[in-house]
Amino acid sequence: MVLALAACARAPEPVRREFFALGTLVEITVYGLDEARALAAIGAARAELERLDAAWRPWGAGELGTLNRALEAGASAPVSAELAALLARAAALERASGGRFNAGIGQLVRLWDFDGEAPQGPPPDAGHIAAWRAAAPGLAALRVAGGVAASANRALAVDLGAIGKGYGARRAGVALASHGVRDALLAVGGDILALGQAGGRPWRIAIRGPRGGLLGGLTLASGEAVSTSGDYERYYVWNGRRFHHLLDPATGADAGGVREVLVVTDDPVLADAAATALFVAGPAHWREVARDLGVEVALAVRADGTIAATPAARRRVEPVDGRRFEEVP
Amino acid sequence: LTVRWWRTALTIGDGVVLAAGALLTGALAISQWGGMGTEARYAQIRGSQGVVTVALDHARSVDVPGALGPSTLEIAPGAIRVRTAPCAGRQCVHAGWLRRPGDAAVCVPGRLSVRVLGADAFDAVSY
Repeated sequence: MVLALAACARAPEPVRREFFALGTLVEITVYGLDEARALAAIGAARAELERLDAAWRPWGAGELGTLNRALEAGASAPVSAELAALLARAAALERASGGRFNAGIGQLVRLWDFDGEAPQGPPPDAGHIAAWRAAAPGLAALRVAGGVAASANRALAVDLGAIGKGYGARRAGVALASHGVRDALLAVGGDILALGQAGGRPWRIAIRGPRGGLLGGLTLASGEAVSTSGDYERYYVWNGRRFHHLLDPATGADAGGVREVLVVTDDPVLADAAATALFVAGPAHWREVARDLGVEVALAVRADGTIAATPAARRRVEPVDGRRFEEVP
Repeated sequence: LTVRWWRTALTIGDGVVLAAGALLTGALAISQWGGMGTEARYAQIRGSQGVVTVALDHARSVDVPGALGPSTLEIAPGAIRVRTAPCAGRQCVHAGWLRRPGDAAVCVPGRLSVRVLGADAFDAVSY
């Protein structure tokens, strides 16, 4: 009888904490551990994210800032094995996405004033953008060998804003697992990674709409990641015009035609980069870029508010508020 | 032909079972996504002194300390907004009234976040 009652006992309540890191709000929810152990695990995950935040601010005092200042001066700089591996992955994703995802646009991001926490503008003048476009920097121009990085292109500066949160979610997940966590949800801004389950049921994720409200919901299996990119995340208004942070390396300006993109994969790094790549690809090309990146579950909210979805996304995402998803084969 | 097949193959008992199944499926769907797209019930506010959850039941103002100074949040039945904020970009103010579960305003420099909650809706919002 006692055993039977014990078997029916409720699992510990989830432990949830929020904090700011990597320029965004981080939320971590842990099931299955008592509060003290869960908080210790969340503390380890937070320390990991704060480590990456300090090291990889594009113009900060850490290794990425050091690298960017060296590249700007035409010099080389040491890079850790961890950063070198992520740069190699970013370069591969740059190639696979036809340059829509480009982690070498740090100088462009700075020109547009999106490198700080509170972007205000002004937007850069056409001459500065034209000069940047003429230099056409990308990670293809970065050479990394023997722990040292260099480039002949002095317009190249690394910004991990479109891949670092996915990487951070993965590293934070590793930190949680090393503290005995099996069931957790990590939300690093719009990048979410599911581990295990939510107290015996799948994790339930809502997708916000680009102008408020929700687009839909979906459940995540363990190890799956969701990433969302939208024109509402970081923006400023200058002379009555709204400028957002998702910059198209081909034009040097904010990408148009799409308001929001959602990607689901089993790789948070890919999900993060792909969400940006698909957004930049725009309404005409997002589907082919998804295919090129091996992303099956994706949807895009076009500028006119209509929602296009891959067949897999149409199966996975349950619309709310009467939203209609148009299937794009 | 199809209609005739249904009429001959199904008994009243079968119909009761099917109807019960349909009701159960609907109930499960509501419990699965319960609250999404429905009215805003609460808001979770995070400032520099921790998290508070407020009911969106009557009009009032709340001052919330943040990293850059206090922000003023305005609450109305079923809605909340950031009315004033000390940050430069004021994206949280531009977000306007938050009325539906999942709506959120985040001020990264001010270390302030506001999120609207429904009734036990979901574990996280991808935004």
